[in-house]
Amino acid sequence: MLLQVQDLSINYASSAGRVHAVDNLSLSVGEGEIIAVVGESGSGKSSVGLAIPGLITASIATISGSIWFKGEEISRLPSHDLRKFRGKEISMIFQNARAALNPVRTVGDQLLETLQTRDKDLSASRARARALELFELVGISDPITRLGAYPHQLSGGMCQRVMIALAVSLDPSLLIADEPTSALDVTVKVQILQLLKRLTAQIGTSIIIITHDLNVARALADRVAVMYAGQIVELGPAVDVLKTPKMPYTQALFQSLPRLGGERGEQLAAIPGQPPNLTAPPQGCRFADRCPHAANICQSAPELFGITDSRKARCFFPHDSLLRAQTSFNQPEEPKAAIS
Amino acid sequence: MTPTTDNTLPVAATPLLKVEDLEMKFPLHSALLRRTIGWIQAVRGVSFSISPGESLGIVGESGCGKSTLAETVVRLTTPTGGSIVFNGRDVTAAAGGDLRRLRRDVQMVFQDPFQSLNPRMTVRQLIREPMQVHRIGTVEEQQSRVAELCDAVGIDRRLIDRRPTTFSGGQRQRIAIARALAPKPKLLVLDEPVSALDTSVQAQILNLLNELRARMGISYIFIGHDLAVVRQVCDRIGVMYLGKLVELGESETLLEAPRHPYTQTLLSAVKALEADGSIDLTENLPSSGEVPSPKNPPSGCGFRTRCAYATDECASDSPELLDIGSLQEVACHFPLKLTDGSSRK
Repeated sequence: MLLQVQDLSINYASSAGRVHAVDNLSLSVGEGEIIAVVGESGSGKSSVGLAIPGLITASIATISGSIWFKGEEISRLPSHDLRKFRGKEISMIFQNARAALNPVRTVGDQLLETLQTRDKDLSASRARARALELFELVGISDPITRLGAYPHQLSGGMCQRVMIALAVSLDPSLLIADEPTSALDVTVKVQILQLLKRLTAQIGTSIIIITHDLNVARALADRVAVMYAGQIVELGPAVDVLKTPKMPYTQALFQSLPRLGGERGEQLAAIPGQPPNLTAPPQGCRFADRCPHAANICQSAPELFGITDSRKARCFFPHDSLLRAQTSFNQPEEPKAAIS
Repeated sequence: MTPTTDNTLPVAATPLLKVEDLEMKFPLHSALLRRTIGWIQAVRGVSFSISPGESLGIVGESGCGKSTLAETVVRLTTPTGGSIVFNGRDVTAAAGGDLRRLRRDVQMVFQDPFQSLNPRMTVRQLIREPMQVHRIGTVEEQQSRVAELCDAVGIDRRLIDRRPTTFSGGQRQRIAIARALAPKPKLLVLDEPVSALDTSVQAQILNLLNELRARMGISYIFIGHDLAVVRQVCDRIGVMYLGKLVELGESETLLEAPRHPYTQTLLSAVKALEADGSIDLTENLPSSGEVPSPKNPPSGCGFRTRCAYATDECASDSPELLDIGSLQEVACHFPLKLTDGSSRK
């Protein structure tokens, strides 16, 4: 295992009380594996991504649990020692690439700085050659001119390519991509996903992709972890989870997604209600309030039960819920419908 | 006013809104002397019309001018060319009382309900304000309409004296919609109304919009970037690229048999992501590259720099949006043959 996250909990202090953003989360990532962490806003998915390279400090949150990377427990390392992992072993790309780049320096400068900071012996000419090679790797046309460009001179898609070049410049073993395509237009989005997929094949990097977009997860990932209200509620191979979801939340999320292939004008199966308030999360199943199948037992907290060797779901009724979901979600007059 | 159903053809004789050759360009100033050194041509000659009760979607990628088009249609800006005729009156340069009347009839819903609602006002004040501005009804009538609107958009009446900060994004967008509906507009311009919302909430709002239109018979212009979302709400869809409408047609026809290579590109990108199971991302899309800058659009057809079918003619002549039958209009010298389009389904 390249990365192992065990019982990770993250609580943020807020004026409304402690926000239990992530609750006892365990996740592992293998060599060369692409895993997608899927969830809606506030599900805790970005907190997980930030916690792995130690970017959430004790001053803003209480973190418990452990994070193991290549056999070393990096969650216990002081910040100074973590630096040798950041960039070289674990690197990150963010949603808004232009905001993540320095606006007053050329993208070439920023790439050269990264290369030369980590390898003091690297000569200027070799660094430049490596930079050109990286720009070509991420599909930036006319790389020589583009090295001299400022971020504002590049399009959003191009900035994201620069970010990816920066992120892979030190050959990291793990790339954490937090909503890398959410700010991009659909044609560019496909290009960036193609690039990420090609990179894993070419340089063998593992990727954790954090996204709200089920289609992105399906297009890219080997395995999917679906998060809801700070917990993983479903985990398994992407093809299986996204084709035959077992947890009612995953099912509902799929059915609420408008698709070109669906019937036009038909009522979308919206999920009624709101996610729970994480300053006081429910004792039982966190989705129970919005779940069409909730029963008395759901007042106690379900574990992430194993369904098959590779699949898990945090639900007391994972097996038969799919069938029941299809019948109940398709009825136009759903009793719990949000719109009256 | 009768709401059009899916099968009703748009009646060109009595459009609610008729936009002709609309143009909107913004000057670019030099840093030092503020001299005009160029123009951003955000909207470059757009024509369309909307019938009462009809819902028109405008889709395109960022920078294609769709939001500028929306702002110009509601006359938040004054167009630099072309005409806007609303309900038989030319409102292209309307001012004063005429503009106020237009704003009563044409309301707007914005993308981000975290920014579009005044955080200092309560829900009651927010929804009532447009009626006060337009002097509609007595205080009692306004109050009862606020309550009605809350019911219509699914906001609990008991929460009416709270401020928007206590509501989630989806609920805030419901409040924004109620506020837009308050002066009983004939046309609602929705600029990316669900793009800031989560998938499950997005579905709630789309259902609400469909229900409200069926019930109230108002028209929508729905600006969006997601074809699947726009299709859910719209009878017709116009596809914009670099400030121009490149294709306009009935939603299903346009999505099943796109005739413009750009529409086809957009569709194949969406379908690549929608495909079941693992998909082949290495498959080449019919077009690559990125949108040229509106500061300096290419000559002739705007899409030719990315188009797989472009010829010399596309560089010299700008194609007009022409009727190609079956209520579909396309701006292309070489519209895709129907077989190309339908085979993509």
